[in-house]
Amino acid sequence: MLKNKVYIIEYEMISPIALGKDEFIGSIISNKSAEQIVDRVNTDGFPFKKAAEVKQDLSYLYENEKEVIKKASKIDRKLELLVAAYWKSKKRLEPIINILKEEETGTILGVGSDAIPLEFFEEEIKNYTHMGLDPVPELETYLNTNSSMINMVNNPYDIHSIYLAEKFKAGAFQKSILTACVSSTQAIALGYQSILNNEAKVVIAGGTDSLVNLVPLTAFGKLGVIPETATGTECIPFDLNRNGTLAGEAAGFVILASEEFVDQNKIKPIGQIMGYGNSLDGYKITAPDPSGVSMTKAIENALSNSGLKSSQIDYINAHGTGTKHNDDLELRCIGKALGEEAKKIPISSTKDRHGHAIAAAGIQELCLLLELMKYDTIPSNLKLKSPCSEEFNLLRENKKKKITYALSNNFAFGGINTVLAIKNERV
Amino acid sequence: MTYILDHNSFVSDVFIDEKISELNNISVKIGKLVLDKESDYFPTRSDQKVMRDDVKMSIVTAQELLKKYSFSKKTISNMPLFVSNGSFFGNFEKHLSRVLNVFKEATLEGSRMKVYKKIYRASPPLLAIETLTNSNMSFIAQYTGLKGNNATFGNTSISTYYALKQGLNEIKNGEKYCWVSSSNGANIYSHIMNRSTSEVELSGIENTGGGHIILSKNRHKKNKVLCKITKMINIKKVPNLHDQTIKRTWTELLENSKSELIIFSGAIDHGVNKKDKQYLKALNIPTISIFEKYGYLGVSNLIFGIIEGLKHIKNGIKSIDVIDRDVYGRESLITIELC
Repeated sequence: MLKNKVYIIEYEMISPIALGKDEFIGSIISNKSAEQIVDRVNTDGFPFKKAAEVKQDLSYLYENEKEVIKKASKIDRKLELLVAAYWKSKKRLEPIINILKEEETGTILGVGSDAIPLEFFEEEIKNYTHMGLDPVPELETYLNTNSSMINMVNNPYDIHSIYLAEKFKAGAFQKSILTACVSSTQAIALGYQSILNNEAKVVIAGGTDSLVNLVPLTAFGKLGVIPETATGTECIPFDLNRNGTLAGEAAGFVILASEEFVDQNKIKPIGQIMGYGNSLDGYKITAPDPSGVSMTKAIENALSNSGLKSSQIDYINAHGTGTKHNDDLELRCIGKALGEEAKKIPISSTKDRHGHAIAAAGIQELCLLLELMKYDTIPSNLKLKSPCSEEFNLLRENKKKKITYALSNNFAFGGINTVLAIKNERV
Repeated sequence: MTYILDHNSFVSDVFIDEKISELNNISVKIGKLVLDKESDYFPTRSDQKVMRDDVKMSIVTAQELLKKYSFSKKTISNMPLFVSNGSFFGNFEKHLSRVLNVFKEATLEGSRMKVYKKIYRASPPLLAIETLTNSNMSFIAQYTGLKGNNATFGNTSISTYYALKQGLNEIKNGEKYCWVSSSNGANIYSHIMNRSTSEVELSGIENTGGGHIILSKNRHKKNKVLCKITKMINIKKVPNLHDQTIKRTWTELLENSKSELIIFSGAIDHGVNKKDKQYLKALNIPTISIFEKYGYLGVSNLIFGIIEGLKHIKNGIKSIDVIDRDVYGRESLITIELC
């Protein structure tokens, strides 16, 4: 039996290399990298100084938002990025929003771990501590004393999916997926699934996250996954000399719609979610399974669930974090899953350009992929000099090529592997 | 049809008073787990270092449950796993005490570089793993071998409804079994998170607990299933982020219900629980409050509601509605029936 189709009909993104989806392609063609000295966190004294940060002030984008949201956005970066992504696209999306039905529309977002930006409240923490009080609970209680359901800090994670639900009148569900680096990839996969399961006709799926905050930045640095720029190494996915990833931040969403919704409303789709693969390593919390069995299975399942053959894949947007653990293994698994064809398919990671946005990695890379499909462009591995494998087609220069089918890989701490298969509907 | 094959759970019955804010005079009763460290299934010492207490007991109870069944290795590794998770900070001060101390002493230091260097040095090396949002799911996979389709939903109580719904969809789409887990860690941070989004009239009571449910497509050949899930519905309205008033609309979900018992949850304090009880009284159906039995269990509200329901199904009650309301006012209903 033929399964129903799930289309992508719109998307928007706030990324360190693009303040809105329309800026993506220019950044890719001009080989822009967002890797720069961090502004928002004082990294003096840190063994690294750089991250991929959205440098622009975003507040002008949401100046007409409610005061409480504006106030919370100034403290909660994840919320600010998402709010900015919505307002960036608000006018363009109005015709779609006007035809959505509350009970048939849902939201699902991948969200990163919460962290109060301690650096903003150094004075308050000192004062509470000198008074002999527990500083963080006192501070949080003080900040959250208002007559709203919106906390200034420490919100339930669903605040993000409910915020978008309010904007899109999405009453069917408002889900949050909390699976680290695959959070938004799973959100897109489960959004697709919920349309196939008739839970909704339209789903706004995506994610938001920021590592550019004192606690996560130190936490990832101490874990040894951010390269120490003092030694001259940078995020270089698939390079023999790779030494770690580039901390990033991003927020965005795609609007997924059922075939029926698209037909009824005469909408021209942009892309199609063909299927996905999703598996667990069950190995170790700190490292991926070196056998790659589950990672391979996720790639294989993405293909088989989509009814695609490896020979049909025009491009793989790899997870390619630039860490020692990930990149070799990812290539091996692509090789095992796709066989001989794997060696011909152009593969690149774009994290050396926009950074690793953790929970928002999947949505950032999907939005980028949709732009690449629009402009028949395959991005290079920007900083690659000495490939860790010569067997694969690891692009060293941007390439003009039509992309009809592509895979987008993401893998997470704790061994979660999620792969999306995407079709270009603009072809 | 989807059946519940079996379940296992853990919950605290030891409560301590925690002061959240001296200045605002806010406190909460928190359920603290007593860990079963003698269990053969207790996690390894190296894993314990990065686990919250609720995750440790989740791992013990997951393995206990799995051991009761002789699933093949292939069945286990293909089994989908959907998890709901509550708060991710076990003990924020413990994690960041050294960092906070650096801030405390910062006035004595002239150079910001020195302060931030100290902060970096003081940060625990495994903080990112300790606060990993998918920690429970990844450890369940590691200790049981479940490796199929998966997701961790969070972190209000409706997440378990979504995890179970996903499980039911997996069964509908052909999976023979699906594993659904919840784990709620109660602490001062969960209460700070929850209290301002909902009416809390009196001191809150939050509890730590979690559980596992195995869903089955078929009535198991060797083992009897415990019940069937006949209905899962939720209120399909956008929550209002700008109004903290609780609007009870459970009757919309309970319309045409033939159930003989309602098990409800959602309240964080006795004041709200009393109003919930009063509201449901009009239906003239016996009710059981999960809050009265355990306190507020967050994402584990629904799992404990179902487990409570199973006791009554065993005693001959034919149909039970398990209802919940999350801190944003989102209501859901699961109907379980004798089979």
